[in-house]
Amino acid sequence: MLLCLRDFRYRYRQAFLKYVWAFARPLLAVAPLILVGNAFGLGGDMSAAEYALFALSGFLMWQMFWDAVISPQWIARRLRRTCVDGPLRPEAMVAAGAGLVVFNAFFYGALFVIAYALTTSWPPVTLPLGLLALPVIVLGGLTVGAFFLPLTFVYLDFRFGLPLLSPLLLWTAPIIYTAPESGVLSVINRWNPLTYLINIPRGWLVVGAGPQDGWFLVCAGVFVVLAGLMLRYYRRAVPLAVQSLPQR
Amino acid sequence: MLECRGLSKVYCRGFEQGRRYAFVDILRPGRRPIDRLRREEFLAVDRFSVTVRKGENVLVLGLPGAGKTTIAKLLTGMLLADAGDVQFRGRLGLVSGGKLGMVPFLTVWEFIQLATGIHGAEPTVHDACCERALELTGLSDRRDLKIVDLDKGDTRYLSIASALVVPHDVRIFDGVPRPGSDRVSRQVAALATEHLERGSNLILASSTANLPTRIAHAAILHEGQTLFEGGLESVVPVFDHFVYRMQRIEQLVREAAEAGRDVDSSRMLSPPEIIARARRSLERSRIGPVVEERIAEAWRSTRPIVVGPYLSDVGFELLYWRPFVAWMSQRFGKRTAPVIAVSRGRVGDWYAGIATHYVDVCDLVDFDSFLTRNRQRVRATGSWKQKVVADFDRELLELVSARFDGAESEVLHPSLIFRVCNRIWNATMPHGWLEEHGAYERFEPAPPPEGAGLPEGPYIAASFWFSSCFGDTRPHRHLINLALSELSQRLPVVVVDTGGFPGVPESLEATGNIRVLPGPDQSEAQLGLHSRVIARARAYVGTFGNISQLAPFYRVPSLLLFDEDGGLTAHHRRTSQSIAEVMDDSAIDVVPAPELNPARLSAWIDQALS
Repeated sequence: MLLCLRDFRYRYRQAFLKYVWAFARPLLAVAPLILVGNAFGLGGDMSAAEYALFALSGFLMWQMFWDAVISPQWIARRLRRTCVDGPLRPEAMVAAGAGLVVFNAFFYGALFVIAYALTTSWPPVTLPLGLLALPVIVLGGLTVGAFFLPLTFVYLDFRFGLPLLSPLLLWTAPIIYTAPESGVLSVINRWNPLTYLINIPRGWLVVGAGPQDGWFLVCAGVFVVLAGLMLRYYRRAVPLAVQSLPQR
Repeated sequence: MLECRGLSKVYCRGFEQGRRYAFVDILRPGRRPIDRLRREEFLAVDRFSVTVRKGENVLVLGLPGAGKTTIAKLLTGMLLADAGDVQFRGRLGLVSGGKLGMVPFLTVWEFIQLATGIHGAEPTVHDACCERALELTGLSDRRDLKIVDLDKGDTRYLSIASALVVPHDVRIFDGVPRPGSDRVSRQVAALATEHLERGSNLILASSTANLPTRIAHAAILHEGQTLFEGGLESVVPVFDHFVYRMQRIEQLVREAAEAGRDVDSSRMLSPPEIIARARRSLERSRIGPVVEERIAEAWRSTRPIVVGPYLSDVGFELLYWRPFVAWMSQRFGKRTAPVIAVSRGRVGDWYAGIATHYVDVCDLVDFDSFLTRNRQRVRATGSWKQKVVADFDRELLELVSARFDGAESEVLHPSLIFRVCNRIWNATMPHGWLEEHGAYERFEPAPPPEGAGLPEGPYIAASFWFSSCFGDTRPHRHLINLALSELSQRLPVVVVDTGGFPGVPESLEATGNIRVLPGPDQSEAQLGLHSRVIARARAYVGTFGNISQLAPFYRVPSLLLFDEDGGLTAHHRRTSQSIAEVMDDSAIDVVPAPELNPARLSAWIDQALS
């Protein structure tokens, strides 16, 4: 918690607009996508308002996943010297990353509520299921992030390269478009775990239950197992990575 | 209980290569066998084992680079051991430096919270720990300021204070905090000492200063290997000897490199050989406890004690003998029977407060006889230093006894401290012995010098001579003239001639602003006169050593010059530094002569006279 507080104090105290950026960043990122998506009919037979809610909620959930991938690294990069100097527990960096995700999630939640209000639609009864799925999405992101964090200490390539992965992940899952029923993209969608991790809970939030919902549980189970394995890897890898940092 | 067995750590010499290995090791599960080292790899810690039981202190001494910090990091899990295991249940703390995530945009309170959190402060005591750390560092009233708005010096002790205030079952001290001249450093060092005295610590140190009194076990670490272990009384002197020898080797290698010569490494002792020799030497010399026992025995008796007669050099008397006598008095307390200090030169002022009586040698024999007999003593014993009780000493002791109605007395002769110093200078005893057995305190104010024809107002005292640490060279003569010129432009200068003053240059003599007091071989009270002249001066400038050691004891700002650590100068400088630290006196400046230029000298005079 303290590390998390330190990080965004450090970040936002250097900004004139302070915490406004936490709100503005996802909004400014998703707005053009919605506009373009509407123009190109990415929502299929959805109305413009329905598509806006569909795309926004999917994007925000994907953003939560991506925040969980990237936040521990932001924190870790700024704590390199601390890792060399002090008895900082490796898990603290991931926990602080999770804290940042939760902090951002409040803003995403606010955006989501506003979007619902603007579209004047009522949420489906599966909405609580969608909310319960959010920690699983974060866990999935943290699991991926924890794999890359120690490697980022050793080589910055992972820090430079990961953002390039972001659009790939965004466009290979049906997050801001409806899943096609055939073709290459359909195959890619089917094999991409993010399809089940994000698309199904997004359905619970804005549409309701769907025929493939069981896959989410499978996907969640896989991520829970992966998270356990990743924790073992992570505890061993961070001290090895710290050793590779300049010690003075 | 903290226990580790066979702890090993492999490092890589090259940074780039090390990163490559780290990358591979992260992705490959399991430990690599340490007996198959890759290119550029070496064992930074080699099968290190230690056990710290509750209430016990364990000390690991090692030169910088020995592997101490690596051990601390392995034990606290900051690094992953390549072999061995660590057993510990409870709260393990690490006391070391570092910034611990300090960033300029945090407030002091926010940083303290973070730092104590990193050190494992539990939520129930977190705020109390933070308050304690603020109190310790004197920042309680500035807790809401951002780090960027504080002076750099104010933040220096935040991290270490944070480590000290958090409750832990066992602490690892990676270095022992030393008290400096400021209040905060003294408070931090005092808290560290409190923890150390309480026990349950693993102390990793590169020097033997500021160690706690109770240490259950000690070891010497070099290049990751434990070379020697045992009790503190054997490990510390062996380590001091080891440090001395290693520094000598380093110096020889450096000199050879500068001269473009090859070093014959086969003729140099290896670290284990140095340790072995030091151990043998230690076994032969157990002088410290013998000296202490002799003093205790004398103090227990009901007879008068004679400390002296001191007939040797002035610098030694001020740096070692007088503090040693003061320590005796402090350590063993007041006695009903008298303590009689015997010295020469009418320096009774120096013994005020630590001896009940002062007897001057010239009260016992006339001045000319003293000079003659003392020279004979030097010839007979082969040394100016009183390493043995000479015939002349015995004669003087009998005369002292006669002055006190022939009462039999206990004699504490200067040879006690000279014999110890010999061992220390041979590096077979730790230098710390002198610090532990010396009470460095200010002298009582001296009465004004009479009959010296001194200036009526304030003046500056000076004393220059050439010695092994300040040779008779053209630059040194030029420096003396420069100093006299600069000083005499500010205030009248009284030069205390110790017998080797090269003289006042003609150009300055004409100003009439410099007066030279003749040397102590001119009259029996001359040394006492010199002492009082220095005691009442506004500032003092002189060659390092001899009477120059006096000025700090009278809190006279002093600038002492030396050029190289010839002879025993390095030892004397270390003692002089300890005196400055203990007396919290920043007004002692021991400056290498080549570094003293007119601007620096002028600035120093301005500061001293301000």
